[in-house]
Amino acid sequence: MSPVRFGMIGGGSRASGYVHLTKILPERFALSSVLIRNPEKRGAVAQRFDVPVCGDLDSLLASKPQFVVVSVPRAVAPDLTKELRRRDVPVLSETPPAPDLEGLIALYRQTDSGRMVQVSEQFHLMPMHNARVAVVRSGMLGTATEAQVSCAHGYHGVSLLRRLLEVSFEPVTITARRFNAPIVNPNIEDALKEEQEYQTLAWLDYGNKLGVFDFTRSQYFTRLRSARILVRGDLGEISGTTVRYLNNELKPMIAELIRHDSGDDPRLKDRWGNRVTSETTEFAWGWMEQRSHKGITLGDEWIYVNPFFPGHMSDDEVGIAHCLQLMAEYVDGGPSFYSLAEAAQDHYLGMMIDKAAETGVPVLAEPQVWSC
Amino acid sequence: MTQTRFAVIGGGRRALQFLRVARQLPDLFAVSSVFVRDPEKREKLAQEWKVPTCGTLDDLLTSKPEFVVVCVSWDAAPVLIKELFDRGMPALSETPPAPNLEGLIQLYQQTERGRMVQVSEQCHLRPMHLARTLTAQSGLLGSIAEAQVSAFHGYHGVSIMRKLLGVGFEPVKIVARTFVSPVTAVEESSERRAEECQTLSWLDYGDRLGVFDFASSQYFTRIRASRVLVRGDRGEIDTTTVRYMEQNAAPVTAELARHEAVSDSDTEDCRRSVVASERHGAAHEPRLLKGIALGDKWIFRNPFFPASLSDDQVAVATCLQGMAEYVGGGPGFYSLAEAAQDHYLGMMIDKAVETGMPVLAEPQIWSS
Repeated sequence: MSPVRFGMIGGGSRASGYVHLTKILPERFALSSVLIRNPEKRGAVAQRFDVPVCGDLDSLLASKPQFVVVSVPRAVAPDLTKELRRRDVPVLSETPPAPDLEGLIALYRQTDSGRMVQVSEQFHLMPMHNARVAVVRSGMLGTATEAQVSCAHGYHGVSLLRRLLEVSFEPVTITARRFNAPIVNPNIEDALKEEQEYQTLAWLDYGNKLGVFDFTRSQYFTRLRSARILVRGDLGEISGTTVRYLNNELKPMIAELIRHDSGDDPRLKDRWGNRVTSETTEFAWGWMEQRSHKGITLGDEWIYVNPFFPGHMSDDEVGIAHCLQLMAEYVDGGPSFYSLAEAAQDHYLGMMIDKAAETGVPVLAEPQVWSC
Repeated sequence: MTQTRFAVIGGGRRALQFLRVARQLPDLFAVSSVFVRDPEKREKLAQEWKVPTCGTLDDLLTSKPEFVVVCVSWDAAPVLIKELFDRGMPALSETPPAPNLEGLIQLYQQTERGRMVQVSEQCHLRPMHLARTLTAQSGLLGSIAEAQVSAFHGYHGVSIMRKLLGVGFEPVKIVARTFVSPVTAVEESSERRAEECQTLSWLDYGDRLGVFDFASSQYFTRIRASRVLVRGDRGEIDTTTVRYMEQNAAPVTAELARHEAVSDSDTEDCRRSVVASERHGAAHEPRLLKGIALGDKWIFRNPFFPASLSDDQVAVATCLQGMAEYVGGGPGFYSLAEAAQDHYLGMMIDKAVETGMPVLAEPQIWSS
């Protein structure tokens, strides 16, 4: 298998994540070239990461990438995406693909309804979230009717919510509130600085389905705030990592989504606060191995297997690696995994949550141009 | 320890729970008499429970109880509580003590601001809920700003939320809604498909936020668990997991672990119990709970160990104990004012649902 060969525009923190992946998994991913306009930055990136760089689009395309990752500020991303599409190059855009509703609509129209454009939304492709989506799709919870997601901001949180609820572009009524509370920031050494932060809470009412969005910024940055997920169907629920369901004999069952990691201390928690309960006896050598994620089991079933094992990666990086892999398959005629329409809808709903929170009045998010 | 002698009015499900607790803890509690008006029901209860019964209030009082547990319908309760008050007899009322706001205000006035009245709100006294409240009150999480409670309906859920938030009778803005969805509930071996109604609400105190969330199936099926979140500026409790900071600001994670005298291995026992304890039905199964520990500290010790009691019965016994101390001159454990406030907020949540508009719950007569 030859590695997926992709180009990239941008040299920021998200972009360096992609570069890092090519270093961890060189047999799978290779950068053809990285386009950075600012010559100083370009030199710094070339030196720091030892990757081919260039200063204009022509040179980038001459490096023959299968597709190009657009990882630039959201204000300039749409123009680059359009330009690449004009030149018939497939695009994997960072989230969000455009800054506002107007920009999303324009981008969708100007790219022939987002043809050969996908978006690098990694949250639902991170192992534990991926496993939860797999549980929902397996049907063991019956039909999903409710999802409560408290783990990611705006479009990221909405993307998970929509996947778990299995909704597409239906109209939805949104009620939202902001709540301010103090939090001590334990990341600042010796300072214990108290900060004010605001939490956003929202109800997304689809009529027959309900989404509950809840996020406060410190959930990204401190271990004092955990992630919380609830998915309910008529036959069961997932709460955190615990799955409750009715088996074939309609007997109530409880099972745990269990992470299996190599090189793992069983008492660690992962970045998202999930309990790492994998009893590593199965991997007797696991203690000596490089730390990597093997997958997630539910009872006697592997509900998720990490294809990038034994790569030494964070959950976030596993999510991005999936995006790159799926994009390569998409370019080869495979299915869409997170289209421009999906990304536009998630960002649109994220913005509508903000609007409802700011005005205090329920808003109706109506179907947009990408919904038909 | 002296034995507490109490009487009961009523013969329904909740009344029987008090009789059960008294039977399990004969050294601590004795039932002086049970007042049931219907002669047939009275006779049946006397035979089944082997307790003295009577058919009039006069007879009940001549049985010389220290206080009377009032376990009757919502409508009848305030009338009986007032009657007992007029006769100088302390009352431990079931929740809620009166059916509506008017009734709550009236009862409060008629009993000289709830003098000699306490209410048997047992939900916040169930061991795991009590352990969370005690952890929040210990200051481990810093000052509490948020509580999300998805465990009980109406006043029960509100009572836990208020305890966790540490709020009194402050005005609060309430937004609420319902969500109807199907659930397959399994009772015994029969499957029952039902539409159920979930209530969700935000209670905004300005500097504190309460989130109420309840679906009735949480009481009845094993496929719906309880969820509780408490957040302070220095940590949080997520159901049974506590996250906080040590003195040197290092973040720490610890589990509220149940310790029970049943299993061959303590560790295994704790882990299994954690899962089981957050299911409502489990609160009605007999256990041999020693207590709940957080890290190397016992947060809660079950004073009734080694009696075989369910979590709900531990809470009922705690209510009876608290009432005995109150009658003996001790501080109350859940006053008429507290109960009135919790029922009032529960009703205001319903009102916010019905009108679809935010409502302001203003301080009532019992708040000053």
